[in-house]
Amino acid sequence: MSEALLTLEELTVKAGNLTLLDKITFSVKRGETIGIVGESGSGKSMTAWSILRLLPKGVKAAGGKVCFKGTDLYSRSAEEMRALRGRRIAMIFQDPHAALNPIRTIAAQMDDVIRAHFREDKQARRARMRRFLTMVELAESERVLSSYPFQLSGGMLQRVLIAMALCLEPDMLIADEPTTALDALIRLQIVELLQKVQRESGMALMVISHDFGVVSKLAGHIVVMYGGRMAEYAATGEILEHSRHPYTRALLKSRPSVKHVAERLYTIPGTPPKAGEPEKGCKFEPRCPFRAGRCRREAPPLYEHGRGRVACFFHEDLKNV
Amino acid sequence: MSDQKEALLRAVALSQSYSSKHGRIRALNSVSLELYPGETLGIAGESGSGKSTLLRLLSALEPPHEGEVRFEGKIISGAPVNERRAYYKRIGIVFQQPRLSFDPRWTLFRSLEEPLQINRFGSSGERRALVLETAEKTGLDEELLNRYPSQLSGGQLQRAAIARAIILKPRLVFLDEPTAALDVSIQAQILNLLKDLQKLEGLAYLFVSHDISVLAYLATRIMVLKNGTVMESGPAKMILNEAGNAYTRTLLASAME
Repeated sequence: MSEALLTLEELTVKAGNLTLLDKITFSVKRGETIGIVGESGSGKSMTAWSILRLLPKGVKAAGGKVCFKGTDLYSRSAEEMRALRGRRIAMIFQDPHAALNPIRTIAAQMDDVIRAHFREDKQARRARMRRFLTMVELAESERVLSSYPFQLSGGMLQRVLIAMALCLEPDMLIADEPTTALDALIRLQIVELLQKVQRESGMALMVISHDFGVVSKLAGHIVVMYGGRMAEYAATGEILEHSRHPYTRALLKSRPSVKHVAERLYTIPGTPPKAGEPEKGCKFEPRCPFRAGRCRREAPPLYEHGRGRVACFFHEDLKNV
Repeated sequence: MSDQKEALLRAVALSQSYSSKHGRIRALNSVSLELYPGETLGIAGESGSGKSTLLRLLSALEPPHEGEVRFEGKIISGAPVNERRAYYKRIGIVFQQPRLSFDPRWTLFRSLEEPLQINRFGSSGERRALVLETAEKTGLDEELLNRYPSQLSGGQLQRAAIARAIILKPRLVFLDEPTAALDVSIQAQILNLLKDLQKLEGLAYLFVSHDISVLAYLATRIMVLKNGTVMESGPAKMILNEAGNAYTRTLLASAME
């Protein structure tokens, strides 16, 4: 077994007294994809920002570690983090329009990124841009390079951002809701593109989404997050077929399907919790169909089962339900 | 069977084009459709398919270049403003972004009461009773009515948008991607609410979405639009199980499950 590229060990992030992330623990190896699934406020984006140490003002890592290639990123200097961001761990976001400067060409913006990290002459940098635009299947790379963002479609822009992230040849790519702003067909194309570029580059991929479909198509393992905590962690097939957590199961059941059209969708009552609510016990307790008195008093630990982990007192009983 | 009933909404050969720098752009190309009382017609299409243009023409926010729209047999498209106003009272619209659909300075109660005031409905007490009744139907607690949009979640606001769309008891509601901006667990709540209200109020829906799995859940019939042209149209079961059109099949395959 090769060593993990990135390991989060009980990472805890707080804003004042509010716990935003509570003991997040998982790891990912080179060539692997980990998926993070959750709804708003689950902490899935906060997890990505905390890996890159890009926490919003007033939000601080309050415990645990983020180990990348064996060293804790929180022991690195600001200078070292700047050199690492983008170069070793790259990130792409939901809205490609918001990630680009509207009044500069794609070439100018890609060039900034390359020059910040590589000492290459103009010709080599141009060749690098073309190489990675070809990798993301943008055929007319010269035309794309001389375009402004508004001249390209949303799907093309997301390809440009993937090329921009890949052109520094990172060890890991974090994709935060990479397909949410896109139409269904383009969404599938971008998912297939991410699969392809990962195979070709051998990097590790972390894909964050509210959409189980997107994540399960890409990831070998999935972390399900709820209210800033891990609800469950397991291999994708295990999560989809034999989840041991009531939230994961409910979320999977509440999705409409084109193959099996339900008479009525399963629903989870209530709304996802705000940060710090409920104060005690399991975060999912107020919405959980399996809740018991204990769930309101104490938060369930992450139980190990098989090769997965689950935060539910009743995970053994759920095996047979 | 549907042919014996009178169509609630009927569009015949709707075409629309806009001028741009590069000449005329044809946004909609001879689209015809019928919607019967109590049914849901799902319009599936991606960006640029013409589904938003179609919605604007059907809701008489804009007259078509060619073709006509009829509601209960009466021509709506290009009708004088007083006739269109009468039509607006009979329809409701729910948009994708509930936060953009409400005045941030108004309480929810005021936003729900506004359509009643505009239409000079009843006394203040009667209006209040109808607001409360509609809020209950859409699953909004009474205490939420005193809140401002910033104090409500996306799901609560979308329930409020639905409440406002049905408060004048329309026969037809246009739904423009009503769950695209919501969390998965909230999407299911809203879709079930729409299903229940349809039965309770005898509503017809025209439901526009790029997500065919959402349409699969609610639609009686589905129409697939691409580049302003109808690719395929028919009973939802047929479209989902034996689509004849290659584009429809690609769209179905793109639903990652």
